[in-house]
Amino acid sequence: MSQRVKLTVSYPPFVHYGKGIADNSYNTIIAASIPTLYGFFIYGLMSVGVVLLAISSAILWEALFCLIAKRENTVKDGNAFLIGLFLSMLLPATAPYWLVITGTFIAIVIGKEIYGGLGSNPFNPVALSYAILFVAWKDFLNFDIMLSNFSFSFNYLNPLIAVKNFGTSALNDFSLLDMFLGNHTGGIGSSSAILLIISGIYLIVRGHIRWEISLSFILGIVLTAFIFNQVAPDKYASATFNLFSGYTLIAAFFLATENTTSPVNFVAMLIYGFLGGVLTILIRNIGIYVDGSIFAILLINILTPILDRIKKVNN
Amino acid sequence: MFKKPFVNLKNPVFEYSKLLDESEDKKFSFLPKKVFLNADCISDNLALNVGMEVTTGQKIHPFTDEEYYLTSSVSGNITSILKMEGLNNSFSYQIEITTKEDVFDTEFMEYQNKPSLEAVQNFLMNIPDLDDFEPFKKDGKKINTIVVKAVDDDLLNTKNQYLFLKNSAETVKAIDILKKITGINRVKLLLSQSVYDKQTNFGLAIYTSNKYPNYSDYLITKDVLKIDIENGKKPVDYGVSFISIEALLNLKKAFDEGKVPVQKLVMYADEYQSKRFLNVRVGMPVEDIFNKLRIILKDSAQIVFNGFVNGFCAPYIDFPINKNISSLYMIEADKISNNSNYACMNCGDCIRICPAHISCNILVKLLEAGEYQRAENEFHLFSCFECGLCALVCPAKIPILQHINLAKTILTQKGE
Repeated sequence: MSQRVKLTVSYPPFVHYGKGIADNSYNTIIAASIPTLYGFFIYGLMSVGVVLLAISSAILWEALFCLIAKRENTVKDGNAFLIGLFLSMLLPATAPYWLVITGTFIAIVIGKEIYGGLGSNPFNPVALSYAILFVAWKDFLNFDIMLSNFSFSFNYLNPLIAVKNFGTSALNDFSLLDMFLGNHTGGIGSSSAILLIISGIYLIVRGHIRWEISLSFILGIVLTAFIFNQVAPDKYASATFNLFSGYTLIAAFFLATENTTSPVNFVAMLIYGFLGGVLTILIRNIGIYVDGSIFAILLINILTPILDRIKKVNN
Repeated sequence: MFKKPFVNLKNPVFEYSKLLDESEDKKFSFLPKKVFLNADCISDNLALNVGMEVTTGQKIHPFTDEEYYLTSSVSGNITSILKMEGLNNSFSYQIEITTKEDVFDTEFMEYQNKPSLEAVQNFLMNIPDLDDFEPFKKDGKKINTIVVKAVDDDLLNTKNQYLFLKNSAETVKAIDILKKITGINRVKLLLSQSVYDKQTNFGLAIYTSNKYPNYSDYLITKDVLKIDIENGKKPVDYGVSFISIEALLNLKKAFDEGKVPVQKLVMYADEYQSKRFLNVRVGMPVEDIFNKLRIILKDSAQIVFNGFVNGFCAPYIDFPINKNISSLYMIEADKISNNSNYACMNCGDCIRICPAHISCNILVKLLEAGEYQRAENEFHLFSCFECGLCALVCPAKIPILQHINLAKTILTQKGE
């Protein structure tokens, strides 16, 4: 009797639409690298070092954790790369190496892997890591201190810090066009508003992030900042200034839209994004911190499981 | 198979295949060397023994104390009887019949041209493609509408469309027979839109667009017949029953010829999606079909029945083509869609595509943790009508449909 052919048995579907997790990560990496390249242009080789160190250490932490936890190595899905890149986009170009490595450790291990890896994290790993770094080593993330040895063709003061300390009178030194184009100090990948908007639109068009969240986040920022500005124009900056400064746009397009920690139903996404925008401005204007986006994102992340229950029911 | 567009602003839309040309209708006139019949294990008192002789179309009672019967699709001797374990602790007997020359059973001859419900219940409950049809059951629910489906259940399949195009005149006569047998006068013929536009002379025809899963029983009831279905109920609870066009035509053929139909039409599509329609005996091993088609089966290939989205695959190569198999595909080992170990990452693709508006993302987390009752109480588990779109688009490749099926089975078993 001839050798019988053995068949593969699996469950349906036997074909797949073709969208995968890696696909999502790599497209986001492409989009995020556009504003990062602009950061290289402003800050030079030093920023390249920070970004590369962040990416490589994030990948190494993930590989190491998977090895220790005896889990399948998930580096190839690109998520660790992405987390490293995102974190470095928030950091100043002169961030010391230990800060970067500690940051990626917090993001990968404490922010993601100990909960069970991608899909199980309650907070955005990047936002969590930045928040811990910020609380622990505040001065290393202060752009005015960290970037003081650079010479720029534009105002070397960070716009948000200036407004926080001196009120809107300090705004005369900044032109909105410059801020829109990215000619102000900030994180490596977070200064150029136009490039962040372009990469955000790319991700929305490709279907990798959900436009509802980004749009309602921006709407929340604009509306709340507008109200504050109308009430006390000498103390609180305008809506456009708030939109183009700090981490607003990077939060709206890259951090708030992280799949795992954001809701998926239409109304829930609108509430989630809008609340994020409102909280950002509240923390900026009333709180003690200069930029509220990161903390706002952590706060709205907590709401996701509850918000996800708001949905249209059949029948 | 699918081409992902560059711009992804809308949900992907999957469409049922349209029958473009009437492809080669390859008749299988040869007799398989052996066929396998499956008997549900509803009793322990087996009435069959090895060596017993059967004729084509003969009624076989597998158990001494049950009315349940099988229909032999060939003439020959029973050569082995095996008890096999299936899904969810169910057992069945697999009866192997080694074939001899075809001799047709004459018991059904007396019903030729005399259609009646009694004849159907006594002889025709196993005709190809007849599945769970309520009006034919002895203690069935009350039905007021019958929908004849001349459309197919899965994306690539075009068998029923093909059958309708070849037999559109016969279909009208067959529907008359069905009306006479069941006494139900509200019989609708469901066509795909493209066929409907061409066939204007069918007064009883209804149609729906060919967007998957519009041809599922639930959506036909809801969108075409305009009956709202509550969570956990089925179309049959609202007096709607479905029969495929193949079963209907077989019914007519049986009463026309006085013979119980034993052949079924199966569509085979290769990787280039060129289609062939084959007439095969019920119970014929799938291996024989491949041999006949001169397709070489290699190790670790996958044989898929009834479609890529919601079908199942053959566990071994002489798996029999049973009466409900309508299509056949082979996937080579290197093209099998891989599974993954990822957890749900809450992207929401499943939710946006779900025609029943179920929170698949929360549901799948609850079901993975075994919280079946909570899934039903809070997240409408039984609203799912198992179209399989969620798993088709899931980037993490989670078997969402299998989780839901398992939960439904466990909850139903608990409830009984």
